[in-house]
Amino acid sequence: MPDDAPIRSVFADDPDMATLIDEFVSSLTTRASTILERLDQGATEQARVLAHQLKGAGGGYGFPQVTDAARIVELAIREKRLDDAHDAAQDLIRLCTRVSS
Amino acid sequence: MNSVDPKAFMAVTAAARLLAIDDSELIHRLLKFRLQHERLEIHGAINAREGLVMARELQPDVILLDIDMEDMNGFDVLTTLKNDPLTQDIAVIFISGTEEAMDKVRALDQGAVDFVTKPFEVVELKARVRTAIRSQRLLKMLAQRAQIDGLTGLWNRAYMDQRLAAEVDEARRHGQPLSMILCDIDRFKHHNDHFGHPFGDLVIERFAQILSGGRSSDVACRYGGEEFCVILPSTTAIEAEEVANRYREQLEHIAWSDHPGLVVTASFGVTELGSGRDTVESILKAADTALYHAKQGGRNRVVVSAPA
Repeated sequence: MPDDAPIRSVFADDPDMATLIDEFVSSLTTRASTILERLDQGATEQARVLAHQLKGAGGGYGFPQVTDAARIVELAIREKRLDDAHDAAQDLIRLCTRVSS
Repeated sequence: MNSVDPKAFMAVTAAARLLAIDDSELIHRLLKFRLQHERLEIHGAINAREGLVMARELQPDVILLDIDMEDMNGFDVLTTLKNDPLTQDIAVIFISGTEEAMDKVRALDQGAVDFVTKPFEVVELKARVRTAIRSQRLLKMLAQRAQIDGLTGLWNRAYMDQRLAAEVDEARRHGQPLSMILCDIDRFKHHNDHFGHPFGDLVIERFAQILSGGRSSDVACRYGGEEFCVILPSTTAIEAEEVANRYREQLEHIAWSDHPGLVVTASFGVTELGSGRDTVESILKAADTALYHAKQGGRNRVVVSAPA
């Protein structure tokens, strides 16, 4: 799959999940960008909590890639590798722009 | 009502109440959607402190608890729940993004019944919630049954001891009256020997029905054998005497179909918490003495031992 290929929810064929997934996707890029903003502002704990929440929720909405990417951000923050966290947050944003419902 | 509450047993099949405590609204939305077809009444708290308040108010069957929350972590929430008599028996399932084995061990050691890792598999989460609710309800039923007398369905002596101590504390703390009736079926051994044990059991059962049919606030217990006790919160000795006389008259007027003309009676000792009888032991002793005087006075009567 090319790096810019759209990412669809594994629950995309479940019509009951459609509204829920739409709501999740519509807020996803903003959530990911907020993580980066918090990192830039030095609010690392807030950034970690947001990454942690995205890690917990991504797979539940059918986007395990979001969970994996958010996990990398959270781990880097936990280990105080802030440059890595910054890069991982940018990767997360890029990933989230590919997510579609 | 003081005998086994049928509602408590029916609750086993009723919709269970679930409280999710998690600071991610994404998770709340997901849980609500994913569990919507389960027989669950779902509530959510968006932070730990709100969750603790809701747990006390709602008395849920099960709590889904996140670990990593901003205002308080899940382990501290669990400790608070377990230290509070109102919430200590609620089943708690941790649902967390943490993958640390030691977190799971710590959660279970602290009293959580299960641990689910986020992102969760829906079918697995449902199964774990169902299992937790089923186990918790069975435990509650067993705990209640251990305090119920098998023949009469009244509370047993062990429960009475606990409840009387709690009621004495409550009455002293709030300066409220508290009375107690101790009663004993007259000539029970004679009835038992003469008409047989099944009839003796029937007499006990019918008398228990009378005692359990009283005011909803009264607590009737089988004290042992043919002896019974009724705890009457917020009740003076004069009011308790009226209650005891109603019990006495109801028993006296039962028509025993297999033994026409037979009159079965009981004697009653009544006392009230007060000076010189302000402990469990002293109030029991005073009621026992009053009962003794009722027996000595000719049976089928109520004797009151009023506080000094």
